[in-house]
Amino acid sequence: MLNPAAFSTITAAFLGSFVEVVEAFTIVLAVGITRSWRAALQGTALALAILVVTVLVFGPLFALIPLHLMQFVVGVLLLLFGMRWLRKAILRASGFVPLHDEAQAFAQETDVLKRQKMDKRADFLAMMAAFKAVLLEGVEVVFIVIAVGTAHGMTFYASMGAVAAVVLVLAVGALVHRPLTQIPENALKMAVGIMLTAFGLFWVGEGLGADWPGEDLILLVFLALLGGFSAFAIKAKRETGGQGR
Amino acid sequence: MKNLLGQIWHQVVKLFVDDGALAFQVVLGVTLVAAAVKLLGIPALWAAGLLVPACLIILWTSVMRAKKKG
Repeated sequence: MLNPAAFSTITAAFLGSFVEVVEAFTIVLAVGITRSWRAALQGTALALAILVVTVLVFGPLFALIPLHLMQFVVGVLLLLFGMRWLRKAILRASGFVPLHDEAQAFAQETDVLKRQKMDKRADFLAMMAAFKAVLLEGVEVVFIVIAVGTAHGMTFYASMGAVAAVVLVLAVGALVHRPLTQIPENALKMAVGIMLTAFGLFWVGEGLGADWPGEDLILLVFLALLGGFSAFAIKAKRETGGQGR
Repeated sequence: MKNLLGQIWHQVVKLFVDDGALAFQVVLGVTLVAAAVKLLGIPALWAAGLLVPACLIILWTSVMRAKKKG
């Protein structure tokens, strides 16, 4: 039976990674369909190799940092990251910022690749498009895994969450063979924003030496508080003139 | 290559900073709380507890300040 911290770690890593992998998948799919699967897979493989090497090189360095300092620093980074996602998700849900549209992203990338069709370096440019998408979204996945896992020695659980997200996106993507437009991306981003902000508050407190009442269970209180706050903020923002969707 | 590294760096910064004021206020809030614990001897639990409403106020201000896009 997983404790609340392990469950939250796996869920946060899974959902956060899922959103990023869907975005990378859209570009890789556009490259594969428009140009060639060889270019798409080469770009993806190269980016994944760089990400793995980066984690293997820098990962062990975290073990050298004193625990309380690491908890504090990771907590601050999680607060910044989580509140940024939560802010954007609230603004999207209230209609103040357009929702992210995978179909539009796919169409834009396809258009760019078609315009590069006559270029001598078309294969290379297509490979680079896949490479950049996987690398840039992958950087976010790596951060999410490290941030939600490292501070309490649950990097393994966080990694499992991220791997599950990759496997699920690839499985569904291979099945439907088109951008995953039906994913409720903003709802996922809001859930992840709430979870990461809750983790951030928890770890900053732990880093300062606070003994939270109920220990890990305080995370549930933070989740409820942030969830209620988000719902209220969306309603308030809509009433000030957002379109809402 | 330089362009790619620039994009990666930009992406890393963008992970944490979207609304600059929000990021600044969070860092300031955490710094004040840490200073209160380390320098004034305020119990860590009280200080960390204060950070919870502080973060909600910062987020609320940032959301309400945002202008419509698109």
